[in-house]
Amino acid sequence: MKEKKTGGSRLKISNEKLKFIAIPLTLFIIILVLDPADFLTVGNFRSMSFQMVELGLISLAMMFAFISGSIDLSLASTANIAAMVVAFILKSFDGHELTDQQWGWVLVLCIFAAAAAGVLCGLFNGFLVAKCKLQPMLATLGSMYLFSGIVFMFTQGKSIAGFPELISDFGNGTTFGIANTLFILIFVIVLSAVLLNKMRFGKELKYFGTNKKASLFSGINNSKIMMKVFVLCGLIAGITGFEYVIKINTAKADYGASYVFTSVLCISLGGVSPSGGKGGVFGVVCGLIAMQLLSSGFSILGLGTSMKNFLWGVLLLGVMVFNYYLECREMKKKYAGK
Amino acid sequence: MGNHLIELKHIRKSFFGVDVLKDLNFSIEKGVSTSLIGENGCGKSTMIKIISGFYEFDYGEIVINGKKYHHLTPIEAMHEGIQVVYQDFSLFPNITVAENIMTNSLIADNRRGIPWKEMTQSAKKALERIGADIDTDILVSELSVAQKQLVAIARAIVMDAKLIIMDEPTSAITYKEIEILLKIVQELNAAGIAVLFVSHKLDEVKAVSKNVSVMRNGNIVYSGGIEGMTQEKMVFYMTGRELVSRTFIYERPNTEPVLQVKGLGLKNYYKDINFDVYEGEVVGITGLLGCGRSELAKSLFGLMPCDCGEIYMHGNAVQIRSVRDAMKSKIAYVPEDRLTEGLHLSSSISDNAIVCLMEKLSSRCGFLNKRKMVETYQEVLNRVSIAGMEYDKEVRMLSGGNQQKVLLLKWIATEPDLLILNCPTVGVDVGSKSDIHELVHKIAETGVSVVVISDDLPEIRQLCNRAYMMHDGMFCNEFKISETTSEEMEHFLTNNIKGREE
Repeated sequence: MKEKKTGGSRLKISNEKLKFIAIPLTLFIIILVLDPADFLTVGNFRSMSFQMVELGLISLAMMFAFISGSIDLSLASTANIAAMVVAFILKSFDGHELTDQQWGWVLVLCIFAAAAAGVLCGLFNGFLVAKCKLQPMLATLGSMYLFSGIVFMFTQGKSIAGFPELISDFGNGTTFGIANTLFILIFVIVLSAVLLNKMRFGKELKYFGTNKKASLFSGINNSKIMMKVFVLCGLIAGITGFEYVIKINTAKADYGASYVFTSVLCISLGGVSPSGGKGGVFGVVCGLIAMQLLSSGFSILGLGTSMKNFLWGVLLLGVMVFNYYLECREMKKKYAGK
Repeated sequence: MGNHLIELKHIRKSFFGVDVLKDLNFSIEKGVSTSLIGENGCGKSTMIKIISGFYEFDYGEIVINGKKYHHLTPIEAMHEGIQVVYQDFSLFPNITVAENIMTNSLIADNRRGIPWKEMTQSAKKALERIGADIDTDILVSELSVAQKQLVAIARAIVMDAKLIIMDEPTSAITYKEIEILLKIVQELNAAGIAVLFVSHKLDEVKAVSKNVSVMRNGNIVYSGGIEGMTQEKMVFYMTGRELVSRTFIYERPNTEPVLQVKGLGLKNYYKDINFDVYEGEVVGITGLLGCGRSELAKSLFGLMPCDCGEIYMHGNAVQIRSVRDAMKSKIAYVPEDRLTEGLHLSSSISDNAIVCLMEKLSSRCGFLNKRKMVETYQEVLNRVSIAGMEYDKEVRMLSGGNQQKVLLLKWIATEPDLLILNCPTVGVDVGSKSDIHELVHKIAETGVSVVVISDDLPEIRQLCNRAYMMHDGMFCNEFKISETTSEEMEHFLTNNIKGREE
């Protein structure tokens, strides 16, 4: 997924990838050994693939924000705005006698509306950060409350539910044995990988995240990059909103607020650094799988989800400390060589 | 041997695998002032920070007052009476002079309450000792640079200093103030306080110190009395080479100038700047820190757009309001601070080499052309030999000189018509310095016009065929290097300051 770094030695890169794969792989083996009978079922994998879509999408959006050296706390709220828009559209078509094909078109309309709503939210964040020069963390904290406030106002705090069965059938359905919503995640993964590795935007984003001042001095249009990042975050969050409405058939103001923080956990496992400039899609996907394995692994083992938060924390801190230790050792080796 | 205040024995120190101090031996006698000179990047600051306990050393020992240290903490150094007056003085601008002078000693004595009366009196006494007339009740932010320096010295005296290290104390103050400072140093010596005086300027060194040590590439290469030291010898010890005054020979072609600047001004920084640069010419702009030289350069590159005046490139008026405007006009700028402004330190060397070329290396719809990228950075980076060069290596792993080469190459790769270099060899070792000079001359020979901004007169003389001297935001002299001696230029530089004083 991640292209070989320009001109780099293959060995070094694959080493790094290995580090990312190691975590989910280890978890996989542990769970496999402990309870192969419940773990290795088609149903289990299917339910895992259903569960990880939202976190995966939010994580990818957060990855872009992190690589640029900022953060987007309003992702879940943006998703809720998009979800609300989708819900209103579906509601307005409810009761009409539509054919399957017509419902298909309605869905397409919903996707575009959700994406547009997300992009608008992203533009707003981008304006705050790139033009008003607010700190990304504070700007998106503000817009997080603002966006969810908007949803509260429009919905009076109630959840919007009760869409045609057809929609939920589609959202929970599978094609060729793969969850329909998983296709959305796969599409966004591929899109992100292309953006990051094949396009000028990705390259400039990494330059920007590594050193904003030097980027400015090198003729990179910093505010345009910042704008693009937040629009992209909004777009992905908008798609997330669409995804969860068709899956759980509800839209409400405070859905999935915790995803913002778990996504930070997830991308940190995948080697994306909050100081900017570092990270890739491959790592994020590994981190996502690791998190999903942990949470469903423990429900399989009958430990329930009560342990989930605890273990996520242990995993993240453990991996960070271990990475730091490895880095120190590497540095020492380098010095000793001289 | 008995009267050594401090002795450094076989000190070694490395950063990120680069040896900065290599088996360094150095000593200071009690109550005597010693000068330390050396080029930028030779390890002077590192040595000072080791003496003051700020950095740990990797190997060796320090003997202070007969006591051996294998580790030295800042507190221990302070208790031994070692005080540093840094270039920026490390004062707190938002509290009064008296508080600034006394804070450190209050903390060192571990006192909790603040005895205001006693504090003001002691502060006054300390200022009197160095003959400074400064109100102790005003805020430090209201003081001039020279006054701040005196406050910093007074603070050191209060701390019972036996050795005061002054890190380039004369770089930011005026001629008259320098004289006062030199007198203070002599008084300190008379009171039994040793001074380590870090400077580049031989006349100051001669006026102030008894001993002189010259540092080069992390070693002391000369230590001894000041008598018999000449400018030539000093330069020889500092650079390891006889100074060849080979000036850059240039013949102006019969074309219109590449860059023409008319009446350029930016409020509070510079005004009424007029000059032109011809094809293949290397023009220097020199002057003291704060004279507006950096701001002028930044205006030409669109980072600090000018208020008034006109800029012409090849005879056409151009508006330069942003970096992108400047790049469109084929202007390149190598900034002063390569670490924060110039390079993407944790990116690879190859990525750094092509950062300015993103537009050329991608298709119209924004896809990167990977093959062209590889070809380009190989071509760019192979122009000069860079020690420790691997395309994939993070650029921060390189030494200062090699980092500077990458930075220069990155801008040469944009094929500019005008290349502006702001202090191109600050913190660069001697070998790389001459490589960089050679590279600049090579580029100029291909027809690129170069503007060099530097306060390093020998560098200006080596690089340029013509130079402007800037003072207080204005150009005051123009020199043809081949027709001016370095003494004359030095003279003008100090005279400008004198003129302002009187």
